Amino acid sequence: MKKEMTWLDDLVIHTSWNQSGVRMAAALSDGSIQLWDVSTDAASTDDLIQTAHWEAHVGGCCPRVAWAPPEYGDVIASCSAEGAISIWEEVVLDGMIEKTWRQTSTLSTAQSSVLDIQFSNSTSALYLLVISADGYARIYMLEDSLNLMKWQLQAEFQNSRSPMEINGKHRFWGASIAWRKSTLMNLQPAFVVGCNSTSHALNSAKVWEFQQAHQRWFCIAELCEADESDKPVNHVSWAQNIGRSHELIAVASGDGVSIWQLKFVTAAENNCSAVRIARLTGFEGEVWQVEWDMSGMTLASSGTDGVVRLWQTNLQGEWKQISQI
Amino acid sequence: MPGWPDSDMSFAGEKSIKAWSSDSASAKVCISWGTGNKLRLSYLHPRTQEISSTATPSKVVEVKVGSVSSHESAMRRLVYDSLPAFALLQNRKQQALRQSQRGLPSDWWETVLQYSRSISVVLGANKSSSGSVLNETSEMEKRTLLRAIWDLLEIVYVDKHASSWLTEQLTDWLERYDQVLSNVEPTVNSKLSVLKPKLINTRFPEDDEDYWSSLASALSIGWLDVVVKYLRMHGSYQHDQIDNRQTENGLVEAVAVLISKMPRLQQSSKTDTVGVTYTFKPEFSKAWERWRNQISKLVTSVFWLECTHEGTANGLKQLLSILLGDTNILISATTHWMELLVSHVLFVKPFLMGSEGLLSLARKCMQLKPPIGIDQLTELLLAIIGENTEVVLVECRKHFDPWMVTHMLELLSAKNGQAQSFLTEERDEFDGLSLEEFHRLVYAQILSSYPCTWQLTPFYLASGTHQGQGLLEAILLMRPVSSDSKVSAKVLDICRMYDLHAVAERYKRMMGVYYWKHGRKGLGISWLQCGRDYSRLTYAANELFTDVSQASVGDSGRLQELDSLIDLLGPQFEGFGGLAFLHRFRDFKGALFSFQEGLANSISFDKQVVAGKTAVKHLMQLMKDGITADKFLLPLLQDAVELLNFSGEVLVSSAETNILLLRLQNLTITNKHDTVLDLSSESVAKIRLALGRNLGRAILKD
Repeated sequence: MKKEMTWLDDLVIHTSWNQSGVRMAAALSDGSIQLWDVSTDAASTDDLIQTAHWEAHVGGCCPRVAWAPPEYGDVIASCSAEGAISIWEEVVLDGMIEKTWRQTSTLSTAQSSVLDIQFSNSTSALYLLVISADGYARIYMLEDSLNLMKWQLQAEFQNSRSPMEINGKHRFWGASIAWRKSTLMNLQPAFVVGCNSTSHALNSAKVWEFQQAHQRWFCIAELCEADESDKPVNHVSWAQNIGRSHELIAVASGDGVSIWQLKFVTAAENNCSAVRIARLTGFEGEVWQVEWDMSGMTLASSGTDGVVRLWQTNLQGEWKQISQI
Repeated sequence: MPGWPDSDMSFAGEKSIKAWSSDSASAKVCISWGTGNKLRLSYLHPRTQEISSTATPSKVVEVKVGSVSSHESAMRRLVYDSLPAFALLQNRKQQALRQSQRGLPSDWWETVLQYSRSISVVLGANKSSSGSVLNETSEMEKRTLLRAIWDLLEIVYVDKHASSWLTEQLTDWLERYDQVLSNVEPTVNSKLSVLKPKLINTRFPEDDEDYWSSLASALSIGWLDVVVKYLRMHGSYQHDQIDNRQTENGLVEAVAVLISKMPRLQQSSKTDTVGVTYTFKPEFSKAWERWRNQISKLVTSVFWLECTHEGTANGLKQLLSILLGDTNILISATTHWMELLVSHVLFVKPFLMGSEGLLSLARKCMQLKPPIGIDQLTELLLAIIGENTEVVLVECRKHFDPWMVTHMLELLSAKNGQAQSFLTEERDEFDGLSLEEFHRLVYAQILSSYPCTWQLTPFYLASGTHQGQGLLEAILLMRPVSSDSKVSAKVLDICRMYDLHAVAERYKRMMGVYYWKHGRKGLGISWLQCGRDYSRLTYAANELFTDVSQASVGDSGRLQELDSLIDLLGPQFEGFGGLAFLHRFRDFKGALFSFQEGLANSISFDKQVVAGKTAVKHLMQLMKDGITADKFLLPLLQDAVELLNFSGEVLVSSAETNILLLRLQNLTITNKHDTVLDLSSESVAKIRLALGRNLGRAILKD
């Protein structure tokens, strides 16, 4: 069943939905942001209604928007082509009735464009992970859970297991981040990063975890098999864990998708084991995006051919394409 | 694909190195999953210099993956109507398992049979929720097919008694569902529906070959009442014919009588069936022999020679051959292998008991009458007949939606222990999930996509020990928090019923933040308190304090409002200085405000003194140890300057002034290097001066 929800402005270059799937933020190439809400009015013929539109980055382009988890309100982060990040929240100001979007803070990263930006959804703290075209990932932490004005730069690093791997300066075209998602509370925050750059060592998807004992982020696994080592990573997606004994991560590398199973073992020093359980192929060209559904049972992929494919396991546990849209 | 005509154009020549995220100028699809199986696709065709804006416009499309039905209201009806039976069955299952450690009791199948019949009735109801009849034929056919498979599953997998009355069960089943067996080839049902209108207008149907072939077909699958009724429409029964065609008519009647006397092994005598019912097998077999002898006698009788109507003679003989179980005639009379199977159990192997042998007979029939083209149901029907649970499951997944798969699994495990363990054993390839739980997850996920069915998901998930509860939690946490309190109330209700306290707490926090940010601070505080979110409450209290200090010179309405908000924080709140501070602070501000108001309005001197002394009293309360945090001390002392400088009367006694001086001294010493507190010499000096001057006046007064 397929239905058109709305037409979009041809300036829209990126869209992002909130956690409950009822609000969509669209980033425009003129630096503005549009906000669309799913209509709850049964009589309405439109499925999506534009409820706000504002200039976020005057005179520039807004390549990306990302939603924060609902425990922090209706909050989005946007970025400009120059690398400035703005945090916006929807509020009703004192004495007003109408909702408005206000800018709560601006984070200035490196003076290079932002490749990907994602909020964590761990319950303990709110992190904002930004990866820029200078190849650095930066993690900002919110200091006060109800006040979105104060952010602290917590870490800054490159996607490599050791600094030795990075020789010379590299060019970055793209990068992708996905945070660990789980219904379980009090899990250590973790995320996966993959890049599309001139360095194979920096490209491969790596899993990072915050370790309380050392108070820093460690790379705990590298998700790369020999047959994909020279392929740039276009997108990564971490499946929500609804009670599985392992985590599922999909990595869109080159013209295929790898599905990785990650097991956390807390006691051992090398406390994580990663196994590639499937390599999905048969795409015409590059795979650009992979997304898990809410339970991690279905994976959707899209690529240069413009076809959206859906993948599931069969009763024997093998991953198969079930349909394409 | 539609809506993507220029994809080749946009990407032609681009090699792998370009990532979609950085490439803002190309067309692309943004994928996002919503709740359940809703997939949102943004087809973006950004405007570039090379491609004019008149190219394909950008759009957002929603796809419901693996949707239950395209007919949403009918689907909703089915989902709701089937729920009570399913919930009742689960309830009984849990009760039975609690009572016995060794699994389900041997008569469990009877409970499942009740469930199966209730669902079958639901499938038979063809009214949609709006009251309109399902008018789309395709939807009707789909539903009938669903019911056909359901009922066949019941016969084979659930009803233990069915094996004793297999012939009748299958005949009944075919009578109800013959029309949906095939959509490529005609069935007996379609043959008869062609014949029926013809009969009304024909005087001598026996001249028509179709008449006889339709009768043979109907007889071969045991539709005796139809055959008898149509036989009696034979031309020889007409008043003006009876004299000339007596023998012919006698033969027709004899065949009709024989057909209506066919012995049938049935559980109970049904009023509407033609034939003689036997409930006891030895009696049945005796009667069968007798009846067969009568047929043989008729076949060899001399009356045939006197029958002048060739069509009638041949037609009747064909009917008799069917009754005698002539395989070749049966093959030509039937159209679908399932019909041939029924004809075999009716006339060739009437004593067949149980499902053993049925499968080999079915395979034989399929060879004799291979399906035309690709008959999608063949595999499934064969698997059901052969009780091949794994194939049944695979085929059902292929042909039907998750509603069917989830609900029919109960049938498969009703009496078949092997199937039961196949469906409930924990599987490594599903990370310890059983097939039963896995399919419930799939179904519940679909239910969660619709605003009217998500609240039914706990019925399917709560029993799941592995991921069921996790999915339920995810579904609840994905419910949007908005001013629509119905959804929130439902979420919290479900959390209460299923003991999901952590989820409830998290959801309450989400609501608290939503209301706090959306101009309803009181509700926000209440929900944050329910969610026991003390870190956010601390921040809220901080913000309220700032508001109170700003509101002191403003209107009393605002102060009143803040007053009630602080009240809401309640005694449970254990933030910084505690609630005691906020209450005393509010009292002080209130008193100071009325003192200031008195000054401005030049009220009587006595009243001003009273107001001022009240303010001082509250100020001194705040100065007690452990009440006021350091950061609030300085603003308080600044406020006090006005009281100290009151010219008419000394409001602060010498002892009180000493306390204030002491606090100021401590504050400046301990926070010398604090940049947050504004300990600039000017403000501190101003306070010191006021304190010193007051001390002098107070000592003089004393």
